[in-house]
Amino acid sequence: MEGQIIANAFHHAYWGFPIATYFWLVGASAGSFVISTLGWVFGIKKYKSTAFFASNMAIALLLIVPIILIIDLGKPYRFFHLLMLPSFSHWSAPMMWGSMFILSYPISMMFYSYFVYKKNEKWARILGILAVVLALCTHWYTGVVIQLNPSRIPNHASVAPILFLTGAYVSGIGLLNICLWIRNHFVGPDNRVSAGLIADMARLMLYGVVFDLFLLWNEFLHMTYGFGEEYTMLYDVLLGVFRWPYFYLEIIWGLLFPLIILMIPKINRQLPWVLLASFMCATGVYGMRIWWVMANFYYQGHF
Amino acid sequence: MKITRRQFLQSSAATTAAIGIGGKAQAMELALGNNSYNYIKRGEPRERVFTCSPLYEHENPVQAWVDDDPMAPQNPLTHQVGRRVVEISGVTESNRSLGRVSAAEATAWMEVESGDRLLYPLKRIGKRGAGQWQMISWQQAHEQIAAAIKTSQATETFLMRGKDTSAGIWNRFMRTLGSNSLVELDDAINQRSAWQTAWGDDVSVPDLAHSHYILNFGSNFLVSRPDYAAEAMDGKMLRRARIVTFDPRCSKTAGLSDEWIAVRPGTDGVVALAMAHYLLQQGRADTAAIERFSNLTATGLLQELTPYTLEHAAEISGVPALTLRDIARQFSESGRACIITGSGISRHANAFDTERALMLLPLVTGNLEVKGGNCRPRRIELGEIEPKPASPVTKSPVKNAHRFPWDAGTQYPVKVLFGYNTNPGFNAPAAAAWRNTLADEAKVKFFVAIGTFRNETWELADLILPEAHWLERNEPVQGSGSLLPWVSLRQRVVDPPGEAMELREILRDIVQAGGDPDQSRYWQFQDAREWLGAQLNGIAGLQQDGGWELMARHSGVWPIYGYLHPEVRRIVNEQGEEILPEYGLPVKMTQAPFPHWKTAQDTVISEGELTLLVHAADYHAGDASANDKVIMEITLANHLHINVKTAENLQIADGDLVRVTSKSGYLVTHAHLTQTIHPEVVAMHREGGHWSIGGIASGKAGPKHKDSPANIDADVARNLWWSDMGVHPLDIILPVFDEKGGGSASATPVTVKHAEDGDIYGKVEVDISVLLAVKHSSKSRQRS
Amino acid sequence: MGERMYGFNGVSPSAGKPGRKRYAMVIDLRRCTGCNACTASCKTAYDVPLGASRIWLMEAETGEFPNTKRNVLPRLCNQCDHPTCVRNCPTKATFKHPDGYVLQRYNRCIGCRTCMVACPYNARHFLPEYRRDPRNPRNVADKCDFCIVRVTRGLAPICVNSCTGGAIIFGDMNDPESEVSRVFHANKTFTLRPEMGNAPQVFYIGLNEKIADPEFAFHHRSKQLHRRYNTFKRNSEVGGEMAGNIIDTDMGFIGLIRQGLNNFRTFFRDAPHKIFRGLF
Ligand SMILES: Nc1nc2c(c(=O)[nH]1)N[C@H]1C(S)=C(S)[C@@H](COP(=O)(O)OP(=O)(O)OC[C@H]3O[C@@H](n4cnc5c(=O)[nH]c(N)nc54)[C@H](O)[C@@H]3O)O[C@H]1N2
Ligand SMILES: Nc1nc2c(c(=O)[nH]1)N[C@H]1C(S)=C(S)[C@@H](COP(=O)(O)OP(=O)(O)OC[C@H]3O[C@@H](n4cnc5c(=O)[nH]c(N)nc54)[C@H](O)[C@@H]3O)O[C@H]1N2
Ligand code: SF4
Ligand code: SF4
Ligand code: SF4
Ligand code: SF4
Ligand code: SF4
Ligand SMILES: [Mo]
Repeated sequence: MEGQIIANAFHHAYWGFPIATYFWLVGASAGSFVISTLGWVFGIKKYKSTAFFASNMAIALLLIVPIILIIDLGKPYRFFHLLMLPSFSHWSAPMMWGSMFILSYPISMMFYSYFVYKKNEKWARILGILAVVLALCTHWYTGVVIQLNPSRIPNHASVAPILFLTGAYVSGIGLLNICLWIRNHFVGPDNRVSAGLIADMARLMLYGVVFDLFLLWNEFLHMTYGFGEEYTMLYDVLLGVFRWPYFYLEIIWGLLFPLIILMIPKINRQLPWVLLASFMCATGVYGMRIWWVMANFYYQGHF
Repeated sequence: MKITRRQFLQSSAATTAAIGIGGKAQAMELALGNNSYNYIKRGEPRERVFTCSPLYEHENPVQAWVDDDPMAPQNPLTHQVGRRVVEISGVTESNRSLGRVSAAEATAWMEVESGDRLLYPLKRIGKRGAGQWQMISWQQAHEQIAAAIKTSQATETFLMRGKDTSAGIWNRFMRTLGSNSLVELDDAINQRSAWQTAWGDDVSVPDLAHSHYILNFGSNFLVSRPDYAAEAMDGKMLRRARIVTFDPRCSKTAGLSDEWIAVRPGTDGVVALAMAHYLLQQGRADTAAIERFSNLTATGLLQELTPYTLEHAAEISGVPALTLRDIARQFSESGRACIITGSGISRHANAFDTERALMLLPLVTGNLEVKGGNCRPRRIELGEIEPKPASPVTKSPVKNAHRFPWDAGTQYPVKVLFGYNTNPGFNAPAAAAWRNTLADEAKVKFFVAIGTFRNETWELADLILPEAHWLERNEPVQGSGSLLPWVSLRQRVVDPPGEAMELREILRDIVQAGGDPDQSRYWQFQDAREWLGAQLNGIAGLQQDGGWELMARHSGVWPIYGYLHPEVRRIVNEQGEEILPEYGLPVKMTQAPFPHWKTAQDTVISEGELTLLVHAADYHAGDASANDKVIMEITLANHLHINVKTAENLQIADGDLVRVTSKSGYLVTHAHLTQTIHPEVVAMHREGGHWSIGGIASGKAGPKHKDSPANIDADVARNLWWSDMGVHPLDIILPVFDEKGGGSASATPVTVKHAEDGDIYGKVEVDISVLLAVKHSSKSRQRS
Repeated sequence: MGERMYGFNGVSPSAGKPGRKRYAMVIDLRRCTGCNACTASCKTAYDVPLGASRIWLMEAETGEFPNTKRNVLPRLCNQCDHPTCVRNCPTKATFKHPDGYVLQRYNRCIGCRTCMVACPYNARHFLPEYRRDPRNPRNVADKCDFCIVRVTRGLAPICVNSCTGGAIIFGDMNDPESEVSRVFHANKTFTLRPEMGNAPQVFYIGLNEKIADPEFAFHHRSKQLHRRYNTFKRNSEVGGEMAGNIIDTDMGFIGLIRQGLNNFRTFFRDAPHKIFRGLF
C-alpha cells in the first residue's frame, strides 16, 4: 500500500440528471432540425414532407429546455442576468454564448416553421440556414462548456463539441423517426411519411453512428495516453462506476447494435428494425449525456 | 523583563499597527487579529471582550467578538435581539495563545446558542436514568440540596469533578461544608504524582520553542495541546528542532514528527532506563548535572541501571537497539533537548515508574532548567478572599478517585454527590461500572449535577443545575504551560439564557439555603464579577500595573511581556528580540525508590490477543466539543484502527464489521486497515457513540430528526449530513490501576474477529459483574 | 503513479497590476500540525454551511509500517491568476480583483454553478437555502475570498490568524520586503495541479506529491472515507440543487435508474419552492 487519503472535504456534483436531460433535449432538437432543413435548405426534395413536423418537434423539445435550466438555477428569477444585458454579460463564458443561442434558436425555428407552413421557399431557406447554424451552435456550446474546463477529464478535449454534435445528430434522427411513425397513426393517409423515407433517414443516422464511433475511438486513443487521470476515467467508463451509461447504454445499445442492424442488408429497410435502431440511438445518446455530466464530477470530486 | 504599566497601556496600539518591529519587517504587515469586522454590515468593527478558554489543560486567553446588531435575527434560545458572540480568536498579547486558537475554541461560541443547553433546574421523576425530568425553581433546588447536606455527615458530601476550572471555588465550598471528599477524575494523576514525588512540582514544562531535540513519549500533543503544538512548531522552524515520537500508533503527532518509533504499549520506561544507562556508560552523560540536580551520584545511578541494556530494552519494547542508541546519542548531543510525556504513559498500570524513568533522560543530559530543556512550572498565585474557611481536619475517605464505583457505598457512604465538569459514565475506563454505581441509590444517595449540557453521567443524577457557559462566566484564571508566568480571567461576554447561573452563585445560594451563618460568612458577595475582582486584586503587582479592571479591558492577560511579532510569531520586545524566560530555578530530583521497570498489567496479552488503546480524538476538547457541528463534521468516526498485516492474518478486510471482545464484553465496529499502527495494537478514539450531551453529539439532530432542540440552528436542521457517530469504546475496558500513581489504566487486551450474526454496527454488550469483580482481584493482589 | 509533475515549481507569482497589491499565500507544510483551526475558524466566521468549506484539510498516511508518515494539506481557493471560474461565469458574478483576490458578487450570481464545474480545485461551494444566519446569501456560489473584509482593514485573514503552527503566510507579493515574498523566494514552493494552467497563487512548501495528486486521492481513499462520502451524497441535497450526487456503490442498471428517478424527484419537489421563494 502506498498510502491512503483518510480525510478530505467532500464536494457536490454540481449538475445532475436534469442537466444531462437538458443536453439530450437540446441535442435531439438540433438533430431533428437538421433533418427538417434537408428539404428546404439543402434541396433534397424527398425530405420536404418531414420538414414541418421535424421543425415543430425541435421547437417543442427546445421549449422544455429553459424550464429545466431556469428551475435548476439557484436564483431562477435572475435568469435575466443572462439576457445579453451589457453590464452583466461576460462574453468569455460559453454559458453566455449559450444563453444567446438558446434564446435565438427557437425564435428562428418558429419563423422557419411559419415559412415552411406558408411554403415560402425563399424565406424558409434563409431562416433555415440561420436556424441550422444556431441549432449547431446551441448544441456545440454545451460541448464547449465542458471542453473549456481543464480538470474535466477527458472532456477537456477539442473532440468534445464534435462528439456532442454527432450525438445530437444521431439522437435527433432517431427520435424523429419514432415520432414520425407515431404520427403516422394519427394523420390521414396523404400526410403519412413512407416507411422508405424513414429507412432513408435511418441511413443518414447510420453515417452519424459510424462517425460517432470513429470519434469515440479517437477519444479512446487519447485516453490511453495521458497523465493517469485519463486511464482512471477510461477504466471507470468501461468497467467501473460508469459502465452502465457509457459502455452498455451508449456504446453497445446506442451505437453498436444500431450499427449492426443498419448494416445488415436484409433488415435495414424493414420498418420494425429501423424503428428499433432509431429507438436505440435516441436512448443510447441519453447514456452518453449522463456519464458525460456525472463522470466529470464524480472523478474530480474526490480531490 | 516585564514591561511597565505605561507600556502595558500602549502595547495594544503598537501591536495593531505592528510597524517596523525589529527593523527587519519594514513593510506594513497585516495585524494578527486585534480586530474583527461584521461582513454583513459592510465591515463594521465588532465589540471585543477578553476572556479565557478552559477547554484544554492549559487555559487559553481569547478575545470574544460581539455583534450588537439590531437587524440581526433574534437569539434562537432566548428570543432576544442584541449582543451575540460571533467569533473567537486568540489574544495577541498572550504568550500562551500567541494569537492562536484551536478548532474547538474557535467554534465554542456556537454552544452558547445551542438548543441542547440546560436552561432550568431539573429534577428527576421516575427511576434514575429513566430520562424523565421536571422543571423546578432554583429555590426548590437549593432547599433540597441544603436539606440533603444537613442530614448527612460532613465527609459524606462528595465532589466528583474533572479539571478544576473554578479558581478554587469548589475548594472553598467543600471546606465550608467541612468535607474533603474529593473524587478528582484527572487522568494525568499518575504523571502528576510522579513529578510531584520527583521534584515537588506536579508538572514539568518542556521549553519546546528553544529546543533542538524534542523527544515525545506517548503524547499526541499536536492534537491534544495546541499551545505545545505551536511552541514545538516554532522550535522546529526557529531552531530546526528534531521531533521524535514514541507511540504504538502513528498518531498525528507521530506521523508529522521527524521520526516515529513504534513502541510496544507500556514499555517506554525500559526504553528510557536503557538509554540513560547507555549514555552513562559511554561517558556521554553530564555527571556534574546529575550530582547537582539529583540525590544520586552518576555512579549510583549507573549501578541502579545495570540490568537495562539496549538489547534488553529492544526485546521488550520491540524497538531495535540501534535505533535506541541513535536516539540516545542525538538526545545528548543536540545540546538542548527536552522530553514530553503524555497520556500514553499515564494510562498504563506502570505509569508512575515509567514517568519517573523518563525524567532520567533530561537529568543525565543536563537538560533541566536550561534553555530548551525541561523546566519547573512558573505560576502566579491567585489570591484568596478573606475570610477563608479552614481545611477540614478529617482525612478524605477517597483513597483512589478512580476506584469510586467499587468503593462508594462499600468503603464509604456517599450521601450527597456533586458532579462537575466530568463525564465518567462515558469516559472512565469501565464506564459501565461507573454508571452502575451512580444509578444505584443505595450506593449514591443523592446526586446533584451541574452543567451547561447534559452528559451520559448527568443522565443518572437526581438534580441537574444549569450552569452558565464559560463565555457567560466570571472566573479568575491561573495560567500554566508557559515559562513566562501569566494570569488571566474569564468574564461574562453575554448573559446566560434561561435560568442558567454561574457556579459561584449556585454554590453561594446552596450554602445560604443551609441557613448556617457560620458557613454563610464565607460567601458574602453580590455576584461573581465582584468576586472575580476581589480575587484578582489579591495578586501582587497587578494593582500597580493598573488593576484587574484595566487588564480586563485591555488584554485579558497579565503581565504583558511584549508584542506578538507578526512574522516570527513569538513575543518580542521593542527591539524585536524574543522575550526569554528566566532559567535556572533550583532543582533537586529524587530517584528514591528507584523507578525500576515492571510490566504494565493492562498491556499483557496472550496468543491471539491485541492491546486496545483508546486515545483522545483529533480536533475535540474532550466531551466539551462533542455537540459542536463543525468539530463533529471534521471528526472521523472511531473505527477500529488495525495493522494491515494483522488484519490479513485475521482475514479481516478494510471496512469489515468486526467484533472487539475483552473479558468484560464486546463492541461491534468497522475495521480501518492501516500501516500506521503497531501490529500488536488496535486503537479507537474516545469520542464515539454518545447517547447524551445533545442532538449533534448523539446523532439525533438534523433533517431526519425534525424536533431535535439542536435544530434551532437552521444549518443543523437542514444541512447536517453525516450519520456514522462511532462506537462507545470505554465499557469494554477492564479497570486496572496504577497502585503508585493512583490513576487507572485504559488499555485492555482484546480479540478481534468478524462480526457474528445479529451484530450491528455500534452494538456494545458488557457484563457489569465482570467489571465490578475485577476490583477484588486487584485488591487482593495489592494485599499479598 | 504519484510522482508525475509535482516536483517542480511550475508557477511563479503574478505581478498583477503594477502599483497594486498582489495578495498571495504561502503555506509551509513543514509547520502545519493538521489541527483544522483554519477550517473551524473560517467556517464559523463566515457561517459556512455544513457540507461545504472555504478551507479544508486533506490528510494522507503514506509508507509502510513502521516507516509511515502523515501528510496534511490545507486547501482553499488558490485565487488563480488565470481563474477558470471567472472565465466561465456568464454574469461576471465572480471576478478577479486587481489586488489579486478572486471575489464573488452574490447579488449578481444566478446560481448556475458553472464556476464550480470550472474550478479544478473544488474550491467553490454552493450556499444552501438554509443558513445559520438567514441574512447571509443563499442559493448562490461562494468561496474563500482571502478575507477581503479583514485584509482591506489591515488584518490578516482569520485562518492565518488562528493557525496553530504559524504555517500560513499571507501578504503582498508585489512588495519585495513582505514576509510572503521573502519566504516565497527563499524556499522551493509548489502549487496544486500546475498543469491546469490556472496559475494558482497559493504556494506550498514541502508539498507531498501523493497527497497533491488527484489521481492518488481518487484511488487511495480509505474505505471509511469512501463510505462517508456516499453518506454525504445521500444526505446532502442542498435543496434539490445538487441533483447529481451519485452513490458509486449503487451504479448497476437498477441503481442508476433509481438514482436518476430520485434525482428528478428532489429536483421537481423543490421546484415550486424555488419559484415561490424567488418572488419575495
Ligand atoms: N483533541 C483533544 N485534545 C485533548 C483532549 C481530547 O479529548 N481531545 N483531552 C485533553 C485531556 S483531558 C488530556 S489528559 C490530554 C491527553 O492528551 P495526550 O497526552 O496527547 O493523550 P492521547 O492523545 O489520548 O494519547 C497519546 C498517545 O499515547 C499513545 N500511547 C498509548 N499507550 C502508549 C504507550 O505505552 N507508550 C507510548 N509511547 N504511547 C502510548 C496513544 O497511541 C496516543 O497516540 O489531551 C487533552 N487534549
Ligand atoms: N480509554 C481512555 N479513557 C479515557 C481517556 C482516554 O484517552 N482513553 N481519557 C481520559 C482522560 S485523560 C480524561 S481527563 C477523562 C476525560 O473525561 P471527562 O472528565 O469526562 O472530561 P470531558 O470529556 O472533558 O467531559 C467533561 C464534561 O463536562 C462538561 N463541561 C464542559 N464545560 C463545562 C463547564 O464549563 N461547566 C460544566 N459544569 N460542565 C462542563 C462537558 O459537557 C462534559 O460533559 O477521560 C479519561 N478516559
Ligand atoms: S526518452 Fe523515452 S521516448 Fe525518448 S528516446 Fe528515450 S526511450 Fe524513447
Ligand atoms: S481555485 Fe478555483 S475558485 Fe479559486 S480562483 Fe482558482 S479556479 Fe477560481
Ligand atoms: S454560480 Fe454564480 S458565480 Fe458561478 S458561474 Fe454561475 S453566476 Fe457565476
Ligand atoms: S483567507 Fe479567509 S476566507 Fe479564505 S480560507 Fe482563510 S479564513 Fe477562510
Ligand atoms: S491552522 Fe495551520 S497548522 Fe492548523 S491545520 Fe490549518 S494550516 Fe495547518
Ligand atoms: Mo485528561
